[in-house]
Amino acid sequence: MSQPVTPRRTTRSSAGSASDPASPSKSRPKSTPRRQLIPAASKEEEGEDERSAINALLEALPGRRAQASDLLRLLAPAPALPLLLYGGAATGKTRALLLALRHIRPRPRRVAYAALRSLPSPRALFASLLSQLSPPPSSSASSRQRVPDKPSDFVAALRDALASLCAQGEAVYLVFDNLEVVRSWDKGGQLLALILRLHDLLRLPQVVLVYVSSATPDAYYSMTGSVEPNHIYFPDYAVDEVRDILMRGHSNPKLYTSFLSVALKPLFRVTRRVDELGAALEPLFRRYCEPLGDLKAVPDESTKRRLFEHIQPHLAVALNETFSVPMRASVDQCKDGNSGVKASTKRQFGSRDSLSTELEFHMSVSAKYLLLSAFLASRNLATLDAALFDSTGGSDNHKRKRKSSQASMNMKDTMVEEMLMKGPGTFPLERLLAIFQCITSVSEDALNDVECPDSMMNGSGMTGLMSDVLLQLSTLCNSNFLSKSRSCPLEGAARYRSNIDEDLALKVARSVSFPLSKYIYRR
Amino acid sequence: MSAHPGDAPLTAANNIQPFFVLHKAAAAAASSVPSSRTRRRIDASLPSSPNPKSAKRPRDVDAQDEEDSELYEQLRLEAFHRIWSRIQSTIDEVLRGINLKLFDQVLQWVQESFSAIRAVAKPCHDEVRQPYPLLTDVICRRIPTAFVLTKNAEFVDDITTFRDLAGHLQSSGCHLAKLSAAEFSVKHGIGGCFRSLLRQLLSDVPDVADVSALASWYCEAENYDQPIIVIIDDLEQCSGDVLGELVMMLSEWVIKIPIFFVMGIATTLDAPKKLLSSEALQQLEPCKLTLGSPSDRMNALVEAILVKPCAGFCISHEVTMFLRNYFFRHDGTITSFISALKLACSKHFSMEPLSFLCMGVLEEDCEEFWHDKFEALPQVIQKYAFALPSCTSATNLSHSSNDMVKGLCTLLKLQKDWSSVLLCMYEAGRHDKVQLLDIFCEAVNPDLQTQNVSNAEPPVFKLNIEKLSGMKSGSGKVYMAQVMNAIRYLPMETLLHVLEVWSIHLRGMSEINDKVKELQSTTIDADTARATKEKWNRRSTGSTGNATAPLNEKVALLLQDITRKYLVPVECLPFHEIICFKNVGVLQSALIGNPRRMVQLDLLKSQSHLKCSCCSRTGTALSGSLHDTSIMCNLAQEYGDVINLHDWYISFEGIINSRNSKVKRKSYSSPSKKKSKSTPPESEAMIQTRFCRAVTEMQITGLLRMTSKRRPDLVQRITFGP
Repeated sequence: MSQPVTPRRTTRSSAGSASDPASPSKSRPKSTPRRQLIPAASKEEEGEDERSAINALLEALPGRRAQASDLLRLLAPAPALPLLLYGGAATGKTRALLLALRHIRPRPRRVAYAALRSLPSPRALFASLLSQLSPPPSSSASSRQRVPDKPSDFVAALRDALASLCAQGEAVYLVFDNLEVVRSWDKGGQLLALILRLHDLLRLPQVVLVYVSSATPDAYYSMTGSVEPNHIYFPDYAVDEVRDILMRGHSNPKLYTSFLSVALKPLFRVTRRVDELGAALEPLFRRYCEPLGDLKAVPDESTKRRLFEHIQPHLAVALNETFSVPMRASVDQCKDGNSGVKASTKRQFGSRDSLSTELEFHMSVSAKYLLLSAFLASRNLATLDAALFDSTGGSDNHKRKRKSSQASMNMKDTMVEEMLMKGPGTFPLERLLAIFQCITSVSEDALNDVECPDSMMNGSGMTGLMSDVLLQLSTLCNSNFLSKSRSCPLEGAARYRSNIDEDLALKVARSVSFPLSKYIYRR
Repeated sequence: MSAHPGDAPLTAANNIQPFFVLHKAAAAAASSVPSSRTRRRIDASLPSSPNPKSAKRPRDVDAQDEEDSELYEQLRLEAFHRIWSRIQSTIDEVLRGINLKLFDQVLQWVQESFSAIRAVAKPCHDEVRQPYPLLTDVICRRIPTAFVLTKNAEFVDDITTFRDLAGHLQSSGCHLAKLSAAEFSVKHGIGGCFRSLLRQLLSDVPDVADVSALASWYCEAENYDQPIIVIIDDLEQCSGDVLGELVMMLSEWVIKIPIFFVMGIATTLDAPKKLLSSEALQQLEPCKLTLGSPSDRMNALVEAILVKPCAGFCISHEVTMFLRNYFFRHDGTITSFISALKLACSKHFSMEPLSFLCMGVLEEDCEEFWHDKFEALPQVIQKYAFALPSCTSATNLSHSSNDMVKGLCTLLKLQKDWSSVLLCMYEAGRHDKVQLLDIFCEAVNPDLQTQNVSNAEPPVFKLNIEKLSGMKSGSGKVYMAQVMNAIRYLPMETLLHVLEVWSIHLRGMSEINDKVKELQSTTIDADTARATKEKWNRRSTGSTGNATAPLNEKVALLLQDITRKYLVPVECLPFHEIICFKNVGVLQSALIGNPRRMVQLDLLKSQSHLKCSCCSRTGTALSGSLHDTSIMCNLAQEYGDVINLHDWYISFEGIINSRNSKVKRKSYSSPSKKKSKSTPPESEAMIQTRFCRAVTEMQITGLLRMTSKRRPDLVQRITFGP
């Protein structure tokens, strides 16, 4: 297992002659990017330079000192075992690996990198790896036919490609990034087994397999029975490390430090992912700087306090918002200037209640009623329909029921609880139409009074609502307000379910002034 | 037509009745100018045809009249095409104008995002082609995404918007791909949707589609310096998983290949949150853009097509109310509003004999045009023109072409004044969120005129307003009253602005325009001194209503005045029938259709259509000579919502057998009718077959459905009522 230590020194010399006169025309398109990845190696001497290179590497990876040195140690002389880098998202795995591959001695002859997330199919993976290992000749047509379909063909082709490379005795690195994605692919299990067993299948000592995954090794090796690789764990960053990372490359570090001292801690409690934090902090910092005239200035204590008071309300909003979509300010809105800013922030705080009472989009009245009836059909039990939709409009019956005995009330309570736990129920089309008919007939009189004073409108008014109900239904399904199940094998008809929450339902009800709460069954 | 379908039930040739029943409505609705042959047949089946001309047309018209009518039909067709194309181009222009604002915003956003991305790193071509990510100091790679809120749950209107947006962006140099929900299906997965993305960008899609193909395409010199925009117009319908995967995949590459998303959202901003996983959501750098709401577009359209007489075609109050209801209650899309309008237009030109005169509005010299046309009219139609209901009330018309032309000219003039005044009113009401469509509906109400006449005494304002909003709400001046009220409380700057706009609208009406100018000048004199003080004063006490400024009062008075004088609905003018479409019934049946009900009605009352000799005698009782399906449908009326098949069959068999015995008796008297084919009593098997076929037909036409498999002996009725 530990044979590959030997070729280390010898390959130094052959590395210099890697661009032998025969190959350059072949490897031209690929060789330049490789040099980009490994820019330092060709020029620098060993010894001192190597150490400084390592320092540069550690400098570029704040908070990752242990992992980086592990990487260098485990990668450098082509190791016997595959390597698995794992840890949560945005913990610097890929970055550390790519930087380490730049710095290791001896230089890798070739690095083939496959990010499984950006490859839509196994075939694309095969094609991408093979093309990286053997750069295609200028006519691309021939290479296109050689993409293997079956895993076995792929292994054979891969071995061919690698054998020619390894003949010169240098290490070839195969990197599989985002390995966890494969699990959700069609027939992902088989492919995953193949990828993980490549070491056993190829049996080429110069080939180094590196896996990068956000799932732990237990997720993979329990099932394949392949050799267990070396692990490097990338833990989540601590607060100070995150601060170091975020601080990099800021034009006014003093100002940014004071900002981070205010904003980072609370947000860090919400998420530890650096990318999410970065995204959340960016607009906040812009807010933070708003009162400042000069962004280059170093803030003193009083300014800091002022800025803190300015940012605090925004911070509270940001903590509760997972995904905020800023309105694009048009040019004329920008001109409004300062007066607008204050108003808008105030509105933001109160927004949950005041702004959102109106429905933000247009829907025809019949679609609104249909949506309401779907909501009712999903919320209420079918057995209660008769009680709710009788001629009295439901409210009387409802009260009478509440005065029933304790035992039945308890039973009903559990029933309601169960219903809430189950989420919205499904209903057949007939029930929906029946409820629709009921609630439109109830509100017809009211509508005629309020909206259409002309008596002639009655003919084309609510009575005609039924005509294109199926069209409206498909509209609602298309906008994800309703979902339609496949037809039930026993009954034959499709069932529907309403996906809207009560807020939206209430908004819709308000816009047609329909007393929705009267019809929702509650305890 | 009086063929007995039961005679040879299995020969298809005789068996045209169900098809005739099914196709009749479609033929009448679809063909705006049907050939004379089909029209005659329809006339026969629809005795109360709304078309006076074709209904009056006798069967044996002489050749001259036939030729004339052909000629005029041709003319009307031409008029329809010209006028509709004018209207259509106006519509296009208006909608494009509304959209253009959004398009420019999107373009600006694209440019800003692109420069932001390029500020992070400007990778060289080789770097772009690398399979591994670029090592930059940027912490989060997020795809700039514009969420375009279309503000309409119905999606139809926005198809063209997004198509135009694509064209707009493409013309300004961006690479563009449009993905629809069909491509984001679970079935095809990420591979399918990525392939179709590549297909739209690359001329030559490789066999194995992955991002590196896109990268090498993007590195080509002519592609490099522009962003790629991916438009997804209906986000809600996409599969969230596939879209999420695409987002994750592209976000890895966003610095190397700047791909931005433009996503259309029909409902609320919650839609992407519900659809995408939080991981994918984090990869988007969102930005919200909004499209004009449907009612904004509606206002613009109403102003351009209906208020400003752009093509000499207008619609009556009833039709307007119908269209308004259709828009707000049923459909809510501009598309269907336009198609309804087109239908109205085509109906107008196919039904109104004189409608071709509308073309005069488009001519340079309309008087000349009308003169020529009217002189050439045959006597019958001339007489018809002066017998129009709107002319009979105006008694001082001698039946000459001059009167006709004069009438049409005044009609146009008054229409123009009407629209100017209406626009003034809208301008004033706009600040109070009054919709143009609402005011328009009131302004075309012919009852308005009669009210105005009765209100001619000098108005006492406060009382009058109350009267209008309270007592007269039944006759519909609610919105106008609201406008009048709104004027009183307009702040000074707005009022001045309103006056300015008025003077533009009223340019053609000199004496009123003078009054507006006068008002404007007095305000400028008087208000410069006390404007600020006055303003605050009024605001603080304004709610009581007594502290309205004198200027507001004056403006309101002026508006009241011109409203009374000039807001004459088109339906009160002579000759309006020529340009105004009034027949709401035709439009309604063509639009709403209600096909299932029509099928049922036709089946129930097939005698009235077929007019056969056998059934008329039997009166209301069911005759066996009816078509099987018709019999079955009649029998089904006796049941509730479920029908017992056995009972149904028994009664069906009874009717068939009774008829057979009758035929047997009859066959002695009229043997020729039976074509020497004496029918034996139907065998049980044959009756069962006919029964089954009839049930199937009813099921296909949607009158019946099978109940669950547990109850095979029952069927369910779907349509009820006569």
